[in-house]
Amino acid sequence: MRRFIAGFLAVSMLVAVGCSKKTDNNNEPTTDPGKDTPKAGQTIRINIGTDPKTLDPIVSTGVPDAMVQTALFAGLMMLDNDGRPQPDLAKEMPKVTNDGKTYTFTLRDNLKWSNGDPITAEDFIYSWKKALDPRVASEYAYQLHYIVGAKEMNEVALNKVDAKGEEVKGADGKPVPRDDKEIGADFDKAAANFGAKATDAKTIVINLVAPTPYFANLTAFHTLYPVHKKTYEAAPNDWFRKTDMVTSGPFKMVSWNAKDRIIVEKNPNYWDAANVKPAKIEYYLIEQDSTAITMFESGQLDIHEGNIGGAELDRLKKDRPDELKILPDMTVYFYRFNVTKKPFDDVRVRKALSLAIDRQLITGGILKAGQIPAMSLVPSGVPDASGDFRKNGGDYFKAYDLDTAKKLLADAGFPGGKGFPKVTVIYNTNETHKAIAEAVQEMWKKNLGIEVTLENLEFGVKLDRESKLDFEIARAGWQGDYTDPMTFVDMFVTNGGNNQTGWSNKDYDAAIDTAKKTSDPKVRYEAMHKAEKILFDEMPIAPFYFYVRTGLFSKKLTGWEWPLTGQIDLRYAEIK
Amino acid sequence: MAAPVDSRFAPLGNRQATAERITTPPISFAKDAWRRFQTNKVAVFGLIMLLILLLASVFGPMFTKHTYSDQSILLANQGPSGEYWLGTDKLGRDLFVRILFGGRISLAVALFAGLVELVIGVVYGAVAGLAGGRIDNLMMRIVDIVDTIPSTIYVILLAVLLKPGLTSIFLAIGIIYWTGMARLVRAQVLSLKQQEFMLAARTLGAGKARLVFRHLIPNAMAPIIVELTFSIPRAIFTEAFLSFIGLGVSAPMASWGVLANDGLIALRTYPWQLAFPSIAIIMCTLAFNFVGDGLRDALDPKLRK
Amino acid sequence: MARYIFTRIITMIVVLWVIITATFFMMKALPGGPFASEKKIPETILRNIERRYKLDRPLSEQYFDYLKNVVQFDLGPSFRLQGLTVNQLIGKGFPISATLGGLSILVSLFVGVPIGIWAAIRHNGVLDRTASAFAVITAAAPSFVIASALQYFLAYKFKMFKAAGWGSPEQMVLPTLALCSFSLAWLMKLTRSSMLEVTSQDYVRTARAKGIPEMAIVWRHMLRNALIPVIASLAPLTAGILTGSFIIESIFAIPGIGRDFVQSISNRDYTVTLGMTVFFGILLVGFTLIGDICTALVDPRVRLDKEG
Repeated sequence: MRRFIAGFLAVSMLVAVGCSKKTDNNNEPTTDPGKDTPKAGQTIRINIGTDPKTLDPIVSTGVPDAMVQTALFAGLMMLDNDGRPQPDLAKEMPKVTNDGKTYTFTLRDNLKWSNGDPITAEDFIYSWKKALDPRVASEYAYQLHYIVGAKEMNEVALNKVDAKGEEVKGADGKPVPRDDKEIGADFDKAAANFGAKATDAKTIVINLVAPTPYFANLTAFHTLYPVHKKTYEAAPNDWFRKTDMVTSGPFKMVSWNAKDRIIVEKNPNYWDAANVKPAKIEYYLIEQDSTAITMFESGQLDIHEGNIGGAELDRLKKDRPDELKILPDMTVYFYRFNVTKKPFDDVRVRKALSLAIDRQLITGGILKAGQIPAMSLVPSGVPDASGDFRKNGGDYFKAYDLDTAKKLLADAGFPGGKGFPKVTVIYNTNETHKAIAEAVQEMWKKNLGIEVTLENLEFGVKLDRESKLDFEIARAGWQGDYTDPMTFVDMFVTNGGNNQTGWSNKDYDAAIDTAKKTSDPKVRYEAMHKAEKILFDEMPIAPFYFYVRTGLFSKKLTGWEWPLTGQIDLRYAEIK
Repeated sequence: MAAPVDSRFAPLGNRQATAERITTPPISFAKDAWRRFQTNKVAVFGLIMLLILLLASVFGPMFTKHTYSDQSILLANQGPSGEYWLGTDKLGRDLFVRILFGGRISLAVALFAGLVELVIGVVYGAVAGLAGGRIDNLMMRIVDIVDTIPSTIYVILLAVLLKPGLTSIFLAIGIIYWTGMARLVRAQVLSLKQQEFMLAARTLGAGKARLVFRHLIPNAMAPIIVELTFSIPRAIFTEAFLSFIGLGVSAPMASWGVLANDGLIALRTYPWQLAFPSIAIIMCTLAFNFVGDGLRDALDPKLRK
Repeated sequence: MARYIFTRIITMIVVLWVIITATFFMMKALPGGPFASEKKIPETILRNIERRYKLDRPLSEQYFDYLKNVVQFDLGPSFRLQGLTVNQLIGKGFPISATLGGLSILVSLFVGVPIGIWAAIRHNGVLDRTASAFAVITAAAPSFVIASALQYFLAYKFKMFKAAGWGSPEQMVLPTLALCSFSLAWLMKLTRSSMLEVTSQDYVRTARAKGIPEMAIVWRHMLRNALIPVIASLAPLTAGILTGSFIIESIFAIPGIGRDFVQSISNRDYTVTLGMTVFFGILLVGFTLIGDICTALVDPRVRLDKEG
């Protein structure tokens, strides 16, 4: 009997703990599988894969963050399905004067925040200043550096500097932080020169450092979205977690249950609310692809956006060809060579290895989702001065050129692979990276006679080794932040933070510099083409393919948009 | 006065010397256990299964047509056929030879994990239980600490410090694997040490070591064997998890756990890629289980017939 | 006994301190940090962010700051999930994981133990053999396979349950089944083998000889001894399951703390890892203590505080 009591005590304690604090979230899926809700008041259920890190548009960086922000916030402009800017909160396209250095935006009439407060031009200036405040530490603050005075504001010193501008080191050898008030004072001083001003409640005038033809596009970028001043000031660190957060976009926040879902509903104060179709959107945060696919197929989800690959992709291509969407992505998959380590300091070795990769076999035989073999850096869909950058630029080498590869390897002193040192390819744990690495390992062995070992590393460990150049070959991927080649070619400048190959080329640096400083679009894009060519004359990286985006979209769903930048826009979506 | 002796009775003579003689030939404990084990058909079957698995993993890959790393990408994801007995994986490699090869790693890991549990876990738990009081408290709190600190952290640290491979797996397993067994044995010993046979052994002057090894552990065999059996599949999946973190064998080598992991995503499309490695693991576990049960029956001094 | 419990509680605090210290310094020793990503953040911005979160302070200062906060039950903010504190994460996620875990333990206990007892009583009978084999197979199949299979067949193919999510009783069935599979098999085998051990003891033989019915013997004599190893493993089992099975929660999209915990390590979200480790530590040490007390209650021969 005592045994029983003892056992029961233990067990009931845990049940009591578990049951007493019932979950405060009892959100159940609102639609029954298969049952259509009436046209007015539809809820669209989409899985975006993981919790956004933050929903503060000024600091956010992630893709799931951007997905939800597209619904909650609005900017001066928005990008349409072809990536072209269209007026959103602005009444019309901006007036561009002063040789492309001055932009004037006029806001629409009667713009309101979701709580009814009017949206004014000052809101934009306030938000942009916040984005540039070094204490806020927005990673995309550099997107505003085109504006006069912005860079100086952003670079107000956070640590004490001496007369020469060098950081003063404290007793422990580390920089001495300054007092927040001090920094604030300096920031306000610098902000007096800020080139963006609200000349009245509805007009914003922006003076740029240099002519920037795509500035209108930039205003569609989330870092330049306005935030509601009172809400922000009340809780700068977590205002976006509160259910009463104030927003300006087609939808407003209802609830955010971490790891479960984010629910937003139509914002009646949005200027275009009349055309916004859904009453509610539920953003599910299911990380496991197989679970999301099962939910989609059981009717629990209308959209699943995720990395569908391998066996599941094969099956869905057969079973649901009209619901499986595969679209090009602005992302490139490549391997980095550490050019500071032998034998990768020899361009012939790098080219040989790159040319010996049978790209078609990888994309067609292993990945099979329509990925495009890449013999260059910038994916298609990115505009050129006129036309498509990739189309105009073409390929820089053959997808698979075994003869040249063998010859180059022999020239470099390793005929048939003899004498080639044992090198390692590092990649982070992932089914795809592993499969590709194993395939490449075989290819190099069979085709060139060289042996490489594969090392699968934990994500953080791999990032660390990559940044310290502690590798021979490293797998990498790069997604464009916005539809412009610069976000790609910018990577490989000497000592660039994202270079991580040890490669340095003066001509390349010069070309990038030209592109950044010129006002002539033709010169700009030509310089970027030139840079790309130099990159592949030297081959510090071996590109494999351009990614695709995959998703499952219910065939009953129409009106959704999924531009190249990646955010799925559901404001005009309807379930038929 | 001498009694009248009936002629039908003859004196037997002094029987004292022979009275204590045991008529069956003397047999050691081990031999007796082995004899009893052999009579248990299921246990013997388990043992044979284990031997087959062992031999197949060690020698099998030498005789197959394909090696575990030969790729034929165009023949990927095929079902079992004459050419590929258990089908191919997503790079067109022969699953049969990969499973055989994987057995080397999985069996090595499983056996090592079992050893760690036996050598470290059992002895640690027995010592703690026997000691009692403050020493017990200290030892078990160390167990608590090892159990609480997320093993992933030290596994990643190990992966950074050591080269990946079998030795690092062994080290990682050595650090985290013995705690469950230690707890079990300690609890058992706490109960056993108050029993009469312990009192008897102590009175006879048995030292601590003898008490632990000759008396406590044999009487705690039952839960020890159950725990060992269950640790086999756990060890196999721990190894798969370690590979995930980067501590395991490098691709293209793969253990059963890794193969099962790889096959999981193909559950609905190419189910054999998951089924066959899982069957290998199940067979191995069943075999260990049968042997374990048989051992328990054979070693239990109370079941001596 | 009371003094013993008191000593145990004091040791618990020491243990927690050791755990916090070891975990803190090991986490910091891992390469990378919470703000590392494939897109390298410019140096100045990285420093700004680290400054905001006080990650640029010397390690010892960070350590003592953390200890100070922990003592006041403030486990700090999450670095990855901005705007959320660890206390909030645990507050929201633990009840869910606990419910799932609790149900799972209850099922394992109330199904596994009786079957184990029955199997032992009918040693080598049909039930014994099938139950044992079934238990072994269940244990050998990894939880992700069982979970995926359950989800595929019962939720998708036969539409008996919803595929994923949490909130309605219906959604609790599949995850509980998947989670309890291993512990159920484990408890069953353990009970069975302990019972078999006990069945040949002299006192049982005596009881049988006295003519006491078998069931009474089982209930009053055998169970208490047989359950000792069960109770001993129940403690860590409970603590482990309660803190969330990462795999089950991922597959069934359950917003428990298992996922947070596991991901926090690869995210280098120090505060989350530390906070959950502390929490788990308290649970584990607490349950171990309860387990030990139960053992002593069940078996009066056990003296926890006696030396030698």
